[in-house]
Amino acid sequence: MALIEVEKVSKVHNPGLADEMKALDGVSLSIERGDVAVLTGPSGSGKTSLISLIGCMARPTEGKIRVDGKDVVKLPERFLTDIRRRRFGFIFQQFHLIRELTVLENVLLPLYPLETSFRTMKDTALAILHKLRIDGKKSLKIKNLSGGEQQRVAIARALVNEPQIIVADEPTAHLDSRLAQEFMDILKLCNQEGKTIIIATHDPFIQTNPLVSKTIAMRDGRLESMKKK
Amino acid sequence: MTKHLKIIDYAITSLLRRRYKSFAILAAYSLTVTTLASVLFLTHALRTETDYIMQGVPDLIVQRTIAGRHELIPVDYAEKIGAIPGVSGIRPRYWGYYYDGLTEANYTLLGSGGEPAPLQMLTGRLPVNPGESAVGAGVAALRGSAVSGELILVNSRNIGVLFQVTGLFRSESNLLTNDLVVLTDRDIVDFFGFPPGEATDFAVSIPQSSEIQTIAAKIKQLYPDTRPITKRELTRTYDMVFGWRSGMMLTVFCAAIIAFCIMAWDKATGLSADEKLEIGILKAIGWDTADVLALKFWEGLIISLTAFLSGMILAYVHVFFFNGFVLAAVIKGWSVLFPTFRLTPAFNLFYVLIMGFFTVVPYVASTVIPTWRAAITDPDSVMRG
Amino acid sequence: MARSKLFIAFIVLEVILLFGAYLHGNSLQISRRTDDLEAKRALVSRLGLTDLAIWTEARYTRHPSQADFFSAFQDYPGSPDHFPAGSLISPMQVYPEGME
Ligand SMILES: Nc1ncnc2c1ncn2[C@@H]1O[C@H](COP(=O)(O)OP(=O)(O)O)[C@@H](O)[C@H]1O
Ligand SMILES: [Mg+2]
Repeated sequence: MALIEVEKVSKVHNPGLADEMKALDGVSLSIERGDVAVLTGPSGSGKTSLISLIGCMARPTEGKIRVDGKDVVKLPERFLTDIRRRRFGFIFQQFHLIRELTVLENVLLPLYPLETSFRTMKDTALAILHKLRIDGKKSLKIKNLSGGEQQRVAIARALVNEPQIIVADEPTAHLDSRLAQEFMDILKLCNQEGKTIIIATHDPFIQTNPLVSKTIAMRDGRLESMKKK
Repeated sequence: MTKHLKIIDYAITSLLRRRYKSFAILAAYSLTVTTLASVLFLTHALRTETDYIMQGVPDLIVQRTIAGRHELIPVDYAEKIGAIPGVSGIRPRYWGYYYDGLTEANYTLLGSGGEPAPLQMLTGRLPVNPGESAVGAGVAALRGSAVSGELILVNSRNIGVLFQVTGLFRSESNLLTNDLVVLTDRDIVDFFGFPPGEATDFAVSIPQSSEIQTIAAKIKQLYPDTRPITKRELTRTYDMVFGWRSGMMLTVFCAAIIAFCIMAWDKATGLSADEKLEIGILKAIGWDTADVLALKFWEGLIISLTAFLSGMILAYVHVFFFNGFVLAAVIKGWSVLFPTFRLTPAFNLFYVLIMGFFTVVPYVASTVIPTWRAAITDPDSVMRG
Repeated sequence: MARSKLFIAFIVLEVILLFGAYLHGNSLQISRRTDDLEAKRALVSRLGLTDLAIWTEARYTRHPSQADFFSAFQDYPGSPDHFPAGSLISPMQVYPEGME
């Protein structure tokens, strides 16, 4: 069984209102364990909408989504949150770090609502910062970091809860090619540890990267093609 | 438990992030609580104290009124009043006011009446012989009587009269004696030039308190030009001082309520785009709605509980260790002679709990409720720019 | 974690202080009642005092219980008074006999 199965999923934004918008229309796909899947397609084709659904951040209007065999569509919010924090690590286009907090505090953020002790939590975070080679900046505020450093903090935050699946939305939109390469190198390491990676992007640099094992093309809310490499 | 400790930790971090705003709110809030609590502590202590010491007031005062004004009363009224069954004693009181042009202060001159019993609140003794006096601490300080041992007052015939100070009221009794000058009854009559056979009013003793009302009615019948004032009325006056309807209380409470409303309004409307985004981020990375609300709850509680407790402690210290000096300056009005409020501390747990409820709960609610909407929306909103 | 513990310690300290104030107040209520307050009460009954010497600027503020109905509270509390203290004192409530 695939890690993620999406079955005839539709998503309508603002249903019943004047600005009703069908962002996804009957999309079906599956992503295997260990895949590095890339969602491509022009802007407005529904990539972000799709990975929000896969990442349990919103519910589809129709259809089924299974994560590790569990149907998540009908789960109460509490359980969705739980799945989000146990299985997923998110990297957002704008990083969405909290600018007035330090690097370490940002990375600790996903662990606050858990029952783990503060010490364990801090050790985990420091280990990851070390792995990403930004432990030297752990006490700096985000607003004082360069774009590349912020990117690494964002990745560190996504990894701190040891997720199975990493979801990234346009991660290289604000990066130059050197940083984009660095980003792919880090993802490669994660993938080697067995993590599944899903990236929504229209950046050809990622689309053509050798790491990619599956390319899913979207257009106007529909699946255009799904290619395995 | 660990989880909540960590959330409290994060709440403090969040508050420190907006350090100036947080401390400004905390300070303003504490100050509001201090003001309210000072008024409550002061009035409660004053009331507790007067409730107790005012048990000593005369059972019945009989005044005479002419044309609606307080007039001197003929001493021979005493005979008939004293004969009413239930009355165990009646004595004329001689007292009046004295404006001292030198210090621009008003004194109360009072005849000592009766034998000079030893009083714990008096250093020295009450006047017995003509030309002797006992004075309150306020008057003594104003006129330097404690050092010189004498006091000169100008009588109704515009002649300066020298009084020997034989007693000084201890400053602990300030609230009662600050502006007092006690002379012998004869000296009062002389000084003010009372017509012979007249006194200021009568103090009537009635051992059976249930009879006071009836006796007051009888006196009124006997002498329609009198106005009896019962002990109940005397003591009740001080239940009324600083009543909630009084000007200052209204002003203080209105100010406090307005302050709370402004704060609540700021909270309710002030959920900025940044704050909404932060809530979205927290939810996206694995915080539950309940966790976000817990965070806001703790943020509110940290501010309001700290402000409440600090304000209460500050108020207690202010009123009972520093004699409420800030509040006293406000209450003082135009009095030249004003006592220090050296009150016996009274701590009413009920008031404190009420204060706690009304300061902490609205603030926490106004922190948590506006967050509610942001906290229950799906976190996918953070995925778009 | 250090911060939350610090905060809790601070709150506990403040609660202890406030409770200390409570005990302080109550113990003084008891101890002073026996000497100071008793002495003040004796003073009141010996001299036949009727009012507190708080405001000395006018007859009706110095002796609110003794002032006649006309000079006292000429403007009634609630309206601007000649003397600021007038707005602090409620008028003496006089009930018709037998009514309470
Ligand atoms: N919350 C929303 N309300 C209304 N329309 C939306 C909302 N989110 C997305 N859309 C619309 O859905 C379509 C798909 O958007 P999106 O998933 O962001 O595409 P992509 O990420 O490929 O650019 C777009 O036309 C967008 O305007
Ligand atoms: Mg997008």
